[in-house]
Amino acid sequence: MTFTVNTRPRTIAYYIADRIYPRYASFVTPYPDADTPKKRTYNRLQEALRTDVQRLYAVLTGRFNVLLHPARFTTVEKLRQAARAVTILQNIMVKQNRHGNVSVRRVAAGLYADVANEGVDDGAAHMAEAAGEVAAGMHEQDPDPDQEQLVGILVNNPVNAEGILLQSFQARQQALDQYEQELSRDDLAEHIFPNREQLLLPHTG
Amino acid sequence: MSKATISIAVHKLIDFVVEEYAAYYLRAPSDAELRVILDRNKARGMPGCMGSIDCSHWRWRSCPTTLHGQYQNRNGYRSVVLATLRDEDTYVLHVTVGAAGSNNDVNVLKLSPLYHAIVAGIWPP
Repeated sequence: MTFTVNTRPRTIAYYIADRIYPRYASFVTPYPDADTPKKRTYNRLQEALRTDVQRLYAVLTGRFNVLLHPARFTTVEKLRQAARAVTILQNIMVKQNRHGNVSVRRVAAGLYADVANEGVDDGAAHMAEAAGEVAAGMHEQDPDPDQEQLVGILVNNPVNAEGILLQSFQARQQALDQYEQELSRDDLAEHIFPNREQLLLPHTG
Repeated sequence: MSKATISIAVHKLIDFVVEEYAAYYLRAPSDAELRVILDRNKARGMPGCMGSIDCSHWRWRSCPTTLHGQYQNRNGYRSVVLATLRDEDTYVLHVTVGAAGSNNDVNVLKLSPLYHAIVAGIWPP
């Protein structure tokens, strides 16, 4: 998997994390000392995206009262099972009404506007077409659980592709590279700054 | 219904939900799904972003006294930590529950299967 940030090709996809997370290449953290407009813009957008998903805990406790109240389960294993069950129910709900969510409407303003409208308005033919166009995956039409080929990556491949020790060390080094993380963050800041008005628009006001 | 019956029913429901749906609704995203997530995040200004990670505490009322020391967090109540990872629709891609409340986010991360997959080079693809 490759993508381009600031004309530099990169291979490590990352997660957005807040500032206490360690500086690994797989986590993108905000600048601790944002003293230039570029850094501040980057921090603002990063924060916006992070807050957008921090809603989850609010949504979960709103939907499932079991998480709101102190747990009465007696063992950690039961707690774990309960939380997994709640998560699964939440995922089912999200898959059912993905189009109703605020963030989807925000995104739809950009990339998926025409496709989504087409799909909703004009029935199955357009829906299938749009789904084929944009994403065979989860955005337009979720595939049937039975028919989709499940790729249980974390489960089915317990060793990396090469499966030898040297590869493992290299992978570890690559994933935990601090310099890589700073580079990626700088590139992102550069990438965001020219388009800042458009990108920050959904999050302001 | 009596309390005991409800308790049994709740546990059965939980077990059923996890057994029945965990394979499909709580798993690592497939390649096609990952591509959709990346596309959408690219449109929002973060190319290559797979989601966002955070921790939260879940208060544990009936924590055994033996475990109070471990599970007491900095706010003074017993809890377990939920570490989750999700895309922007609050669709949960990964969840780790059960770390003791005294851990901070970094320690919880290091307990989670996700971290081990990352450092082993299995994930991300």
